[in-house]
Amino acid sequence: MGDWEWPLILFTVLGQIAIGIILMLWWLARDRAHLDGQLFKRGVKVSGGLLILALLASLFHLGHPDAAYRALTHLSTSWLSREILLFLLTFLAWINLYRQARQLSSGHALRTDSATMAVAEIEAGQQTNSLSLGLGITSVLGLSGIASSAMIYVLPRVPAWNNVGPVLFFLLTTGLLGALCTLALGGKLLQNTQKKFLLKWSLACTSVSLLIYVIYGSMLSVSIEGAASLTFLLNSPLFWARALLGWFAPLLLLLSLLKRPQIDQTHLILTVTLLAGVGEILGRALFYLSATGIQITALF
Amino acid sequence: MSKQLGFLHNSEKCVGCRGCEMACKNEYQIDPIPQWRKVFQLREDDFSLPSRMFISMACNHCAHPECLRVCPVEAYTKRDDGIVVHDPERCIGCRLCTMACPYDRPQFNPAKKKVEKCNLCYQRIDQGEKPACVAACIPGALALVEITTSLDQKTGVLKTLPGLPSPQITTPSLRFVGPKQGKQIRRD
Amino acid sequence: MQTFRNVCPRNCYDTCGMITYVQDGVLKKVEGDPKHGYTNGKLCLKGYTYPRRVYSPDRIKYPMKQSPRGSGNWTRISWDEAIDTIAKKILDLKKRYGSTLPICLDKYSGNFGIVHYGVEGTMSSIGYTTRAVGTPCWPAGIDAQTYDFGTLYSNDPEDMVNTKYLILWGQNAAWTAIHSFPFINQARERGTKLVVIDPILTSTASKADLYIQINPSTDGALALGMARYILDNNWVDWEYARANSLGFDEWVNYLKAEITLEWASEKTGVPKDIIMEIAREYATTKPASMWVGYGMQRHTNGGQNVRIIDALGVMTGNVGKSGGGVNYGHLETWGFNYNAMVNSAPQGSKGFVGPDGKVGDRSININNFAKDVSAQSDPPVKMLWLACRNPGSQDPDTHAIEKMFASMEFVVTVDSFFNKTVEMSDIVLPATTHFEDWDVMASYWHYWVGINQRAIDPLFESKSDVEIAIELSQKMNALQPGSCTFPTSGTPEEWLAKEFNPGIQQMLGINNYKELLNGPRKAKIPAAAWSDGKFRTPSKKIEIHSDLAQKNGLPALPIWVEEMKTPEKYPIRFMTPHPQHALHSQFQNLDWMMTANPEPKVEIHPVLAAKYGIAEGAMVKIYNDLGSITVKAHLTRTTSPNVIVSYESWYKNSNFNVNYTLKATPSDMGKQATGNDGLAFHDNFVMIERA
Repeated sequence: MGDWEWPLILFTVLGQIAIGIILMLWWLARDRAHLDGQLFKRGVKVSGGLLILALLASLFHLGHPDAAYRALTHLSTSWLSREILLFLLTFLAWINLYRQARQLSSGHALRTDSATMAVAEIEAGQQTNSLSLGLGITSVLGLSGIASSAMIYVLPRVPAWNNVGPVLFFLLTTGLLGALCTLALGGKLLQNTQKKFLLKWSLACTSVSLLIYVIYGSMLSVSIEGAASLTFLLNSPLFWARALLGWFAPLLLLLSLLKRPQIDQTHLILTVTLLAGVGEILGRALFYLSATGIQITALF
Repeated sequence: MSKQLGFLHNSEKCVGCRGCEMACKNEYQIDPIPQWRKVFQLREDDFSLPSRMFISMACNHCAHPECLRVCPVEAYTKRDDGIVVHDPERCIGCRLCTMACPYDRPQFNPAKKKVEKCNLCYQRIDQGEKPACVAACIPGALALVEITTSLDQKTGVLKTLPGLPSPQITTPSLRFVGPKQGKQIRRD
Repeated sequence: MQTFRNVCPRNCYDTCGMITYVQDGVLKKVEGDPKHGYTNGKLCLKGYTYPRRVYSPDRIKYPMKQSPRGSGNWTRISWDEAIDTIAKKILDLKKRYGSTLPICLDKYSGNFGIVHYGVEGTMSSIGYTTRAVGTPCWPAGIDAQTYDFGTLYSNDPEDMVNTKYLILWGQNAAWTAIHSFPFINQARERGTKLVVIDPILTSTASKADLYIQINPSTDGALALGMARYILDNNWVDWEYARANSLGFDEWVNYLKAEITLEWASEKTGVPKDIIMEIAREYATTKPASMWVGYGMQRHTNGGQNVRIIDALGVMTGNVGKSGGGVNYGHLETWGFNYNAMVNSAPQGSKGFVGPDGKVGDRSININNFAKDVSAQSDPPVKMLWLACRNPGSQDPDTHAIEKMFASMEFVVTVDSFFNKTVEMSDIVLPATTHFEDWDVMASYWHYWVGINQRAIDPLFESKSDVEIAIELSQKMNALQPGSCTFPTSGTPEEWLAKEFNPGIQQMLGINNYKELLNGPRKAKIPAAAWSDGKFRTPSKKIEIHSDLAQKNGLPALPIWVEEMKTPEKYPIRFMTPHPQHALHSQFQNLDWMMTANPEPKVEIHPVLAAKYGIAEGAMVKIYNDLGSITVKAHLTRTTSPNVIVSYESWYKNSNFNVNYTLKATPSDMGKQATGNDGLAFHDNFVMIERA
């Protein structure tokens, strides 16, 4: 508490991007004609890479990573135990997705051209169904894992965390960065309507994030420790950087992107993804830095 | 749980000599950084007159220990006599308990990369001896007690003192006799 | 697991009995000795950190040489090289100056073990040397009690359970004599009222039924005010006073003529009705006890203030009573042979010719060390030997100490850590801890004597002071036969055995020192000092009127002597009392203590802090014309608006030293019994500013 917790920052943010991408793929796959196979493969691979990095990062937080397996023991009361179990299950679910990705023959695009569509569509349909299922299971497990990881921080000892805040913040990171990274990864593999959807979703996440933060901030002063967290944040240049890079700049860029009929400004997309990414990392760092615990406030 | 052992600290008797801190360290030859028992000076402004008033706190062996709840490896167990024991063998050094405890009693040992805390000298208690800190307290300010309703009903026994986290968070097994202040002839 | 008996050899009232646990030659932990009737099986926080001292990675393991001096460039040398260098230097100085007077010893209380007087013995055995004589701590009060009673002699502190009224005067037992508390508490449980008089609201004062924040250095005025009121109400024990003292009526006349309650109240800042209250209570409660602390006499009028308090005790008949007394300290249980100390100078040694024509050591004032050393010219001081002493940390005017050290040709220090004095030395010799020595310890407060066994072998190449002396003697005699008379044989235990004599054995009720291995012994002397009425003054009576004092240029009677006036330029008094976490420059540097207490603070009253724009936790520069220090501020109302307080100790890797601003201002007494006047540590005036 109060430190730059790099292992935890990386674990949570990278893990959330990984699940976010899967979540977006799941959404896109709901319309069976729309999920591009290449995108599916790319998304799964990137997501898996990030998930592995995230899990490795989490080990660095432990004094004894070699004994990390023991962390599965206390499912009865420990959210950390539950989080680890859920992330492991998510990883298993991802392995299934990876298997599916490899089975997809390269270049098998799900097209909407007429002739072969009937047969291809039926095959594709079945395939999409199973892809959808796989993506859905991974998403649900992943989101549960993320919710668990947030619940770890819901501690009576830390008033600023002892509410629905952590869960919301973590899920918003998942949604925002998941969408933007999918958009950045997808590029030409995404249809314009899909891009529009991802942009709108990102805009919604950014707006909700800002709004929730304002409401959350105003409620912090209820406790002394919360007030201390608020003061810390408002006085921190990092917080203002986070606000600029993670909220205001993306809001402007996303609005400007959405105004155009055709979304093909790769540079702009990459920029807003990067800014939002930095914003979320700063936000996560501040989450740990600003937390003030109830203390013995004696003299020494 | 058949009973709940805990500490009774008497600020009327405590002079802040800090012998209890070092007696604990000496008993277990603890590494330099973790300090299982710590003496705190109470804030002057919380009392009618300024003076030097102290409390001494180790682990409070809470009735609802947050450390035990959050620990992923079940390194904490609550004994039948209420003592919350931390088993360093199981600990993986995730430090979640250090975040969860309102009193900062579990301490991360950077040399061993594990958390440590006061275990109420359960090894000594099982042999019929007093905890090291209680045995070392010269003015007799620190006592091992059983937390019972009759103890709580005794006059002068307090559940908390100014400057301490609310006992409602974890229900610590810690009781106090508050500091007494005499007459002061002051120059300010 | 083996156990050994040890005694903490520090300069401390409590001088605890210890049991040391050793396994396979390694010290595992320490406990208090349950057979010790005053310390009762408990140690203080410092005592419990001893294992960290013994095995500290910072501990000096080998003789080390620093070249050049003060550079921090230390190299390890062999004992042979170290002793050879030292011996050759001694002989060289002897040749150049015709005597060993250019060698000066500064030794005091780093280790108060009896065998450690072998340090003085080392010097005596090489010839006549220059000696830092006196004591910084408590000489004013000693002289006061010497003039009044013949010597300092306090009741058995365990006797405090019997008192019905207790005044702690400038005494912070909670942090400097914690083992007295159970006895005080026992008395209080029976209704005894505790009054604490102190300019600082200490931890002890926080426990008082009545705390009086007196104007610093005016304690004598308070006692005189009380005395006047007692006189006016005829609560005087005329019988006791007239039968046992000289000059009592003379003093009574002084009270009538010169002392009023109004004056006392104005001087001390204590309201009249309070002076009346404590005067009445002290005089009419029987028995009533007063514990005079050493802090109280660290003023320019400290000795005189103790004399007045002594007189107050006499006037109320509380002297010589169980549960009573004017208790300061005693040396009744220190009657050993000092065999390690007593050595004759080698044949043909030239020395200092005293005013009585006798040849001997040249003495300089330990309390004016820097200036006195530099002032010597016939011959000048060229070499320093330091053991059981750290003037770099503890002496006034640190800059002057630094300059003086720099002017020396050669400095040898015997110590365990690279403290300030060692940093200014050419050679440091690694000292043993008391766990590695054989010794015997008495206390200047309680009545117990305990043996200190060698529990573990000396670590690395450390040696005790006597072992060092033996090495030096062998080397010197090899270089120049007959140049050193220190005996070169004897095991450490044999040296210890030689300290015992029938007198001390009888006092302890033993026939052989080995009986102490079964437990410490309490001296078989009455619990109440002076209960036999056999005062040790020239007249054999309490000398309220002391011709001896008068002869020494002091007032004959316990009259008021003005306190030092606050200088205009430096209006803030900087008091530097003793904390519980250190004993001077020992203990605080250990790792456990650095975790528990990472940094020094200066306590400032919020009103004073506001005046200089100092917030809680801000750095403050404390300075005067002598020097300055910068410390973190802690705002508290436990001090008063013109007094700032910082507890003196040596923090690891820190240059924090309260003595940078302290002038070597002498207290009024000390010469009679200890050779030199004391130091007015608490008459240290400074200015502050935000750093």
